Amino acid sequence: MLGSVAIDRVRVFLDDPASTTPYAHKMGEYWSEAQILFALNQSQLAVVVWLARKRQTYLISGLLTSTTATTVPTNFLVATSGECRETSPAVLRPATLMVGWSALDFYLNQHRFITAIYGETIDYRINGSAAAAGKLWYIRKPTAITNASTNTEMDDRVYDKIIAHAVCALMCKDVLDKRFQDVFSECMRVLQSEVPHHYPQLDEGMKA
Amino acid sequence: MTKQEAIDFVRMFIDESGVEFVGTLVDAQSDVKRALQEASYDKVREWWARGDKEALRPFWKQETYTGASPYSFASYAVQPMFIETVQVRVGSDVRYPAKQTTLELWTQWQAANPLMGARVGSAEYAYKEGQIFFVGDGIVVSYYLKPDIDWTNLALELFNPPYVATSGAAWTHAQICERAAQILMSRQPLDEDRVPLGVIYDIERLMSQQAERGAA
Repeated sequence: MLGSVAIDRVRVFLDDPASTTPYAHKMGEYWSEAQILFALNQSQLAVVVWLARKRQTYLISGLLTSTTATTVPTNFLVATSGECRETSPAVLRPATLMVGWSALDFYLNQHRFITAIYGETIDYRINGSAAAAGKLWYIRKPTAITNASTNTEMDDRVYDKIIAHAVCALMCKDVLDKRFQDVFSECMRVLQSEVPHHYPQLDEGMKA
Repeated sequence: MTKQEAIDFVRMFIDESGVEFVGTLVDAQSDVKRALQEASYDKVREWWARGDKEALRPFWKQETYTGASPYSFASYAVQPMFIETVQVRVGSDVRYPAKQTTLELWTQWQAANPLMGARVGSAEYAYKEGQIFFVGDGIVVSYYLKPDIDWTNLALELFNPPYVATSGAAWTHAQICERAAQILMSRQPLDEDRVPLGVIYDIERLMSQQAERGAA
């Protein structure tokens, strides 16, 4: 999605052709480009975190990455899974992923393999002792949307959701009226629409 | 999101018809700053209640203490907002996860039979403002700091050290800004044209609210 196209699509939603309100600009132009870009980038983070927590990683697969470091990377957003490596055999095993130091109280007596995140530390443990190595799979921060950038790391339909969400946020500075409610519910519909993990097959005999 | 961006974002939310009503005060940003501070506390309490440790991660801190009870936090600034776990150390290597007990119970228990040396069980602790009482050779306390925003440099991230700054949960900052805008809006006279500010950036909550309303 080209950044400038995203801005235009937001403006289409925000624009009110019937408005006679004496704003300095036409309604869709009332929000500056910088404001729309900022809102789009914040919405991008919110939507990605939401999808990641829903475990819909197939929509944001371009953001899935891993690290073997013991410090949380700067582009870290949401952890998805962890792995620990035994000394012998030297293979990575799936580990229980936990956030917060209370993981310690668990891995001492509940789980064999643990990947725990607290503060800036990633801790790989086997039976309570430090593992030889480990790997954390996580969703990284998406690339920032700018006017000239073309972002392709996520499914196009995620960008639809991001635009709808940014419109919801930007409209909050406007007054609540019937038009607001209409646009808001339309944006909600886009945001809530479930996206299947592949395009459904056309029925036999139908042409695309 | 930097502090300046946060202030601008809040002002964008509360801006109606191009007039920024909080911008007319002497220190144009002071109201927004106070609202942001208030919103931070509000959201951190909410995340704690919901058990959202990913959002709380930037405020995580840990202290290891060797010595006798009680453990006193170094200053008010590093006192906990929420205690996550306390592990009581016995000897140099062994640690037990401790359960919290009330201060009343703690003091009564200690005084139950001093001649017999009656003590509270070792895997328990009690918290008094700035102090942790325990029985053992030390503690490892993991907790979350109070989210105090330092406004000296507006170009820095919203929460800079002692909080986790480099990889802090940046996605939560919009939620804080939105809550701050809601706080400022709620000071205005009540009228009908209030927008559904407060849950937009918390999409999980937004969705559950929509579901409760029976929408779509």
